[in-house]
Amino acid sequence: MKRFLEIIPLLGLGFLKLGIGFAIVTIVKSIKSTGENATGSFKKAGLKLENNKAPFFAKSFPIMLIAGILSELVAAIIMIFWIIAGVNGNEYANHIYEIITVPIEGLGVALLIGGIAFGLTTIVLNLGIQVNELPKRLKALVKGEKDLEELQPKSLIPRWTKIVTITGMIVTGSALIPVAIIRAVHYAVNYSPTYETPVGLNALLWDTWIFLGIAILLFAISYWLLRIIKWLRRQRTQLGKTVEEIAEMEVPTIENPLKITTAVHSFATAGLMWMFIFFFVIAIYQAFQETLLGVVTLKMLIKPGRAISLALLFIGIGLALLTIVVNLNLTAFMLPSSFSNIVNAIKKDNTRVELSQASDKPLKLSPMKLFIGLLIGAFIVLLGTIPLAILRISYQFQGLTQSQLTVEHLIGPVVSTGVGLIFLMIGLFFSTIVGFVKARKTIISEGVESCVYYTIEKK
Amino acid sequence: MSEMNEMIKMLADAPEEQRQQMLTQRLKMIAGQPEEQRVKSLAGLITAVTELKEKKMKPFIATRTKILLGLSSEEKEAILVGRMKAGKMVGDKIHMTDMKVTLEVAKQMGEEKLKMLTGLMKQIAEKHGLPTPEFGY
Repeated sequence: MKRFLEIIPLLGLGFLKLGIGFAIVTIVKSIKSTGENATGSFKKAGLKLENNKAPFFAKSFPIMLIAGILSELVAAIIMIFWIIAGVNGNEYANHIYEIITVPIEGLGVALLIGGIAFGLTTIVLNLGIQVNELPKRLKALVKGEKDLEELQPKSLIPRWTKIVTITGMIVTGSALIPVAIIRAVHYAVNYSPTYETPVGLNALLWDTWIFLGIAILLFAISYWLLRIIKWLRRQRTQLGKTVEEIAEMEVPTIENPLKITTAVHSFATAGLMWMFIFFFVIAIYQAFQETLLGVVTLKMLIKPGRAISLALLFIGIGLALLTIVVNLNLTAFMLPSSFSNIVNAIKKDNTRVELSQASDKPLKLSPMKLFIGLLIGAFIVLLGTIPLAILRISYQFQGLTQSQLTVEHLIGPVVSTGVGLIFLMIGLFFSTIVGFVKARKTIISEGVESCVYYTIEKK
Repeated sequence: MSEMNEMIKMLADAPEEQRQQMLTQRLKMIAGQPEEQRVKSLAGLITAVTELKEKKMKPFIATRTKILLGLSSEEKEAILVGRMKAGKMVGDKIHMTDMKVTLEVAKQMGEEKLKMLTGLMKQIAEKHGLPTPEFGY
């Protein structure tokens, strides 16, 4: 029953991650075709433009997402065999299935979260190209220039964030392999399960290692989101300057960067640091368990420790998503009027559309309900660990091991509910973003097409 | 779901003030487009609007009508010519649904607004040699 209860959240969370991944695929496709439509229009006006080749991560991330969910499905199927073996009392098969399932699970998680991270990298790249190229091309179109300085797409991808993403994937994907090896060797030598033995505790250490990998990936995701925020803001600044230059009008300066962006850095760093510190605490506990720290019930703090880190990281991601929606909203306000002014300038029409002033309360445009939902999810995750850890420690001091076990069984479902709610809210954030990105595609494609049409007509 | 449908759905879900601001910019942009593109944009817009649920469709068309009546005469003319030509492109069902709701909301805004809108449409249809729209009353 316990194993069966493990399959459901595992698969559920896997599908939620896949849903987020597919929303990212839709966003990437929309941003990419925005660029292709605009490039096609500019080429009609005679601009010499090179097509950029998609880098490895852009091609591979949808495959990673599919491979990730397939790995989790395979793990779930093997887990069913594991349950059957357990029910039939087949100890040998029981342990073999356990050894196989765990690393496949780890690989699935790494591929799914890594796929999401690389999807965001692809958004950063495509958005970066458009943010830098669109104003340059519009100016060239108006001035009648044909040759443009080529952009180096590699310069748009922050190298360190990419390294952190790959590191996170390697750590997550490989974390549970040593557990499988330890279990296999231990079983081969002793013909007994590894639970409640020093080797079992080693498994605990490696189990925390996978959470360290996930924390690194979530940290990288926060930084990809921050880069997207940077590009969206820059898009408005650059577009404003282009309107100023082409339409010869004053454009209001855009609002200052939102303060919550700083909070994203803080939450992401605090979440990752906490997981690092926590990992080393566990490692020290492992090393000294028989001597110095053996009396301390650190084992009880493992799950709350991880939960605090993940909650901090998810709050950071939530804040970043909130800022992205605000920026997309502001972009949706600015794009049509900017194009109207550029088109009028090309047509030699002196009519100008006033661009809206910087919003003094931009957070009003944010989907706060989704962020509150995410906060509730984070709270449930913590609720599933900290109070229960306190109970477990107090029970242990009283020698009530059975009660401790009952509490132990409550942790999984509560934490899964919280994490599920967090992923659901992140998914809803992304579906909101999909709407804005598709609207952006329509406006930019039509706007560029009008500019090109009137430029050709003028000639 | 097409890009236009996503955009209209997003605007329909937005608060009134935000919807009005964004739709004003969008209609101004469409008014400035070359005719062929403008007709296509408006065809996409009315198709997407008629696909909204009635609860969302009416407030959306009300905002659109209010904005239309507030545009400059050149912009109004550009939008209405495009709208009449787009009507042929999208087929009778979509065209009539959009027209019916537009007239309904204009009537709710007051008889004067309704007369202003229908008068304008007749005048523009005559000027551009387009068939006079049927208002069904």
